[in-house]
Amino acid sequence: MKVDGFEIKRGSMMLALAALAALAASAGCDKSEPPAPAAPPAASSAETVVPANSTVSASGSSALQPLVNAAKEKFEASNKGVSVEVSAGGSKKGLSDVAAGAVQIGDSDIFAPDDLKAQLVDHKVAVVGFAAMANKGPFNEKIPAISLADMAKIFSGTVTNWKEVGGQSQPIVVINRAPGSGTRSVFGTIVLGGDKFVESQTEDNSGALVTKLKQTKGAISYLALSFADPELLTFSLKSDAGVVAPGADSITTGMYPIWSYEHMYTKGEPTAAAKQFLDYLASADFQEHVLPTVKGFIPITQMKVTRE
Amino acid sequence: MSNGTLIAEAGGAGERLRLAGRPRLGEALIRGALIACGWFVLGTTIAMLGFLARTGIQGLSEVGFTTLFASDTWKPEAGSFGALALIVGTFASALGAVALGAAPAVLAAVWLTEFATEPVRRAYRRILEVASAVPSVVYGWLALVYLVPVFERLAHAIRGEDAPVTGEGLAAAAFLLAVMIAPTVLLLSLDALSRVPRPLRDASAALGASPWQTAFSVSVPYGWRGLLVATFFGFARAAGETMAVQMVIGGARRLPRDFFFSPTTTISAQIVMDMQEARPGTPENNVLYSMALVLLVVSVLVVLVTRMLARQQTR
Amino acid sequence: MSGKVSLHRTQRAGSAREAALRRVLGVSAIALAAAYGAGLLFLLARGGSRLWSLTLYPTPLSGVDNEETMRFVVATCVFGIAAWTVVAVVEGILARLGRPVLPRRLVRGTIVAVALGGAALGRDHLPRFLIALPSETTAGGGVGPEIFNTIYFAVLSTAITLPVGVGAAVYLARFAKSQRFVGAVRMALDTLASLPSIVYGLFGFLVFVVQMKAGYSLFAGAFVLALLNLPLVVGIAEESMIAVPRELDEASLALGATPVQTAFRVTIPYAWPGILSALVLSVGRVFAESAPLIMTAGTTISRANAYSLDPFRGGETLAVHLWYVNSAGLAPDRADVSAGTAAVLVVLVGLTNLLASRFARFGGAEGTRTKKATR
Repeated sequence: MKVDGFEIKRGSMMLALAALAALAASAGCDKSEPPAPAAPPAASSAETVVPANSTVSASGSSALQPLVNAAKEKFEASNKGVSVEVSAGGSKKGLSDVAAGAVQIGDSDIFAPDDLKAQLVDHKVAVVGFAAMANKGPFNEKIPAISLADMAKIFSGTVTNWKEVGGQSQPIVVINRAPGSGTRSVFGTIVLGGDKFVESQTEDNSGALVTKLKQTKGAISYLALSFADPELLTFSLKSDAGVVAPGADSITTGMYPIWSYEHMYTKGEPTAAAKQFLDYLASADFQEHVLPTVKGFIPITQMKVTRE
Repeated sequence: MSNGTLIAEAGGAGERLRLAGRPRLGEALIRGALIACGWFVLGTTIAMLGFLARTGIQGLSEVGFTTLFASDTWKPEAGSFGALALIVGTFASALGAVALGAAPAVLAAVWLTEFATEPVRRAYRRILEVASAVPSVVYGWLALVYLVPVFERLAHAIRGEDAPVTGEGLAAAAFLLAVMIAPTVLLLSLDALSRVPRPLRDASAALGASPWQTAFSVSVPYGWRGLLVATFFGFARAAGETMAVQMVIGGARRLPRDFFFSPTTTISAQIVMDMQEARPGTPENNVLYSMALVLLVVSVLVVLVTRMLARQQTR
Repeated sequence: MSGKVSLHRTQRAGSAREAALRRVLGVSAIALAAAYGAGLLFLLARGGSRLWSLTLYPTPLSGVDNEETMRFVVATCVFGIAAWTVVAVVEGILARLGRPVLPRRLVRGTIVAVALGGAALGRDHLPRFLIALPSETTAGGGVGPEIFNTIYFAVLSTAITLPVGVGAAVYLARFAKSQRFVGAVRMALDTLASLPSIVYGLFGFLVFVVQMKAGYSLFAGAFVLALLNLPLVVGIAEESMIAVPRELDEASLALGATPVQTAFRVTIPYAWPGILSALVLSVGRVFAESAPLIMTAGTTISRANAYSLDPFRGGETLAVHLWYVNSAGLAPDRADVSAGTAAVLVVLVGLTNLLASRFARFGGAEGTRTKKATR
C-alpha cells in the first residue's frame, strides 16, 4: 500500500515483528523470582497468612509520614512480597480516601469527624508534638518564650509585628497550612480554639515550608516537631509555671499542650496485609526500638495524660 | 462543505450499478457505527454538562446565589461559601495575563507575517509550537523556583522592605499565565494574518504604501477579528488554567491585601485543593461543581463570541 | 503570503522612523522566541544532571515485575531516537550538498538495528532516573513508572480517540444527512473544546470514582483524556478528509464501490497523514495534562503494579508527579527530581511535535492544526 511517501512495505513489518519478538523474549526471562512466603514478623502474632505480592496502601497526614516510612522499611525487609505505599495529601484527605475505599489505611492527626466515626476503626500508633516555628532574626531571637494567648493573637492576625511580643520591629508574616492539614486542625483547636487563623498564604509541603521560613524575614508557621530545624526558632510556651520547651518530657507529662495522637484509620477491621502492618506498628519491637529513633514521635505508652 | 449529498445521490447510483448479491449488511452496520460515533460525541458532551449542572445547581441551591457571589469568605469547613475572592482571582489573573502576553504575541505575529522572511517564520513557528505544547506544570514549576523569588524582591523594592508582601500573588500568576498563553496567541494570530489576501497587500503597495503602512493600515484592520479570537482563546486558557496557577498564587482564601503581591486564590486552584478532601454529597462538594459551572459558562461565552466573530469575517 | 522582506522592489521604503520602529519590533519578536528557546534549553540542562548519569547500578534495581522489560523498552526508545536524529541530520546534510537520498529501507533498517542492538548492550547503563521508582521521603527517587504510565495513557486514550474521532469525522465529512444532527455534533465538539481541563477531571471523578466506585484507575483517566482530545482529532481529521479531491471519491463510486468502501479505501488513506498528525498532537496533549488525571488516576505509584498493564489500577504520570513532588513530597532532593521530570517531559513533547510536523508535511490543514492544538 503506497500513500504519498508512506510505504507500508512488508520489510518494515518484518522488522517490527522482529522487534516485538525480541521484546517478548526479554520479557519472558524477566519475572522477578517468586517471593518467599510471607513470614510473620518476629514480635507480632498475626494469624492470617498474607498472600504474596500484596499491597498496603495508606494516605493522609504528612506529619505521620516519617514514622510510617521508618515502619515501612523495617516491615518490607522482614516481609518480602508485601509492599507499603504511602502518599501524603493531608489528614482530611486520608480520612475521606479511606472512607471512600480508595486506600486501606488513612493517616490522620485528628480524630475522625462524627459522620465518619461509625464506619472507621481507629488505631493509634504514636503521639506527635507540634510547635510554632519562625524565621530566626535579630527581631525575635531574644524572645525566650511566648504565651499561648500571644500565640493565638499572632496567628489570628491581631498582633502583626514582632515588637508587640517582645522583639524588635519587624512585620510578622504568617504562613498557614492547607485547610485539609491535620497540623492546622490540631494547632487551631488547641491554640486558637478553632480554625481562626488569619487568611494568608498557604504552604502545605512541610519541606518547602521549612525552606520558606528560612528565607522569609519575619515569617512564622506551625509544624510537627519532626521538622524542627536548628536554623529556625522553635517557640517554647510561657505559662504561669514558667517556660515549657516542647519535647518528649513536657508532652508526656502534659505540661506542653500542643500534641495529638497519630491515628491510622481503617474502614471496618483491617484485613490481611494491612492488619499485619498495623500489628507491626503496635508491636513492642517497633514501639520500643524503632519509634524512638524517629525524631519527634513519642510512644503512646509513655503518655501520662490522655485526650479524647 | 461536506460531500454528504453527493454520496447520497451517487451512492444510490453506485448501488444500482453494483452486481446483485453484494452483501448490504456490512454497509449498513458500518454506517450505523459511524452514526454511533457521532452519537457518542453528542452523548458524552450532554452527559458531562448534565452531571456537572445537576451537582452544580444542587450546590447553588444549598449555598445560595447571593452568598456565593457576594461574600468573600471561603471556609467550607466552617460552612461559609463566599466565592468572591476566587472569582476576582480568576478574572484578575486571566486579564492580567492577556494584558501582559497578548500584545507582545500579536505584535510579534504582525512582524513575522509582514516583515520577516520565510525561513525565520518557519524556525520561529517550530520553537513556539514546542513552547505551546510544554505542560503547564513545567511552567508552574519554573515559575515557583525562579520567578517567585524575583517577584518577592520586586515587591519589597516597590512597597518597602517591611511591607507584608510576598512573591506569590496575582502579579506572579499573571506573568506566568502570560508566558503560557503567548505562544498560543502568537500561533493563532499568525494563522489569522496569513489569511489576509495577497492581492490586498499588493494593491496597498501599488498605491505607494510602505511595508509598515501596509501592515498596520491594511493587514491588521483586515484581520483584526482573527487577532481578537486569538486573544479570547488566550483569555479562556488563562482562566481555566489550574495546576500552574495553584503553585504560584499563594492559596490564601481571601481578596489580596496588596493587589499585586499578596497571596490569593483562583476558582480552578481552589477546586483542585478542596476536591482532595471533599466528600461526595456534601454541600462542600457540590459547591465546587457550582464553581466549575461558572468556569464552564465563561468558556461557553468565549466560544460563542469567537464563533460570532469568525462568522462576521467570512461574510 | 509575502516571502520577501518587502513586497516589491519598487515598494516605497518608508521613513527612517518606520525603519527604526520595524527594527524595534523585530528585535523584540526575536527576543521573545529566543527567551522561550533559551528557557527550554535551560530546563534540559538543569534536568540533565539527573538524566545523564550513566553509571552501572545493581540489577534488578527495585525488584519490581517487568522491570527488565521496561528497561529494554526504554533503552530501545533512547537508542532509536538517537539513531533517528543522527539519520535526520545526515539526510539534511546530504540534501544540502545535493547528494542522492539514502534508500528508505536501509535507513529504517539501520535505525531499528541500532535501537535493538544498543538496547541489548546498553540497557544496564541507562540513567538511573529513568528506571528507579519514585520515593516519597528519601533521596534518589526516579520516574520509571511515571514514564511507563504516561506512555500507557497515550496508548489507551488513542485507542479510544482513534476509532471514535475518525468515525465521527468520516460521518461529518462524508455521510452527514440530517443537518440538525450534524449541527448538534459540531456544537458539542465546540463545547468540549472550550471546557477547562479541570471540568473533565471533575466529570471523570464523579462518574468513575464516585458513581461507579471504581476507585482511581488508568481507564478513567484515559477516557477523560480521550474526551479532551476528541475536538482536536475530529476537527483535523474532518479537514483532512474534506481536502480529499472529490474526483477521487466520484471515481470510486463510479467504479461501483459503496460509499462505505469509498470512505475506508479511498478517502481515509488519502487523508491518513493529516489524521496521523492529529493523533500525534493528541498524544502531546496527553503528556501535558495533569489536573484531570489527578482526579481520575490518582497520585500514587504502587510497587505491586508499577509496570503492570492492568488499566483498572491507579497511577500517576510525569506531569502529575512534577506537581505532587512540589506540593506534598518530602524527599530532600525534590528540586533535582522536579528538574529531571520537567526535562523528560520537554523531551517527550519536543519529539511528539517533531513527529507531528513530519506527518503534517504530507497532509493539509496546517492552520486548523494550530488552532485546535493550542488549548
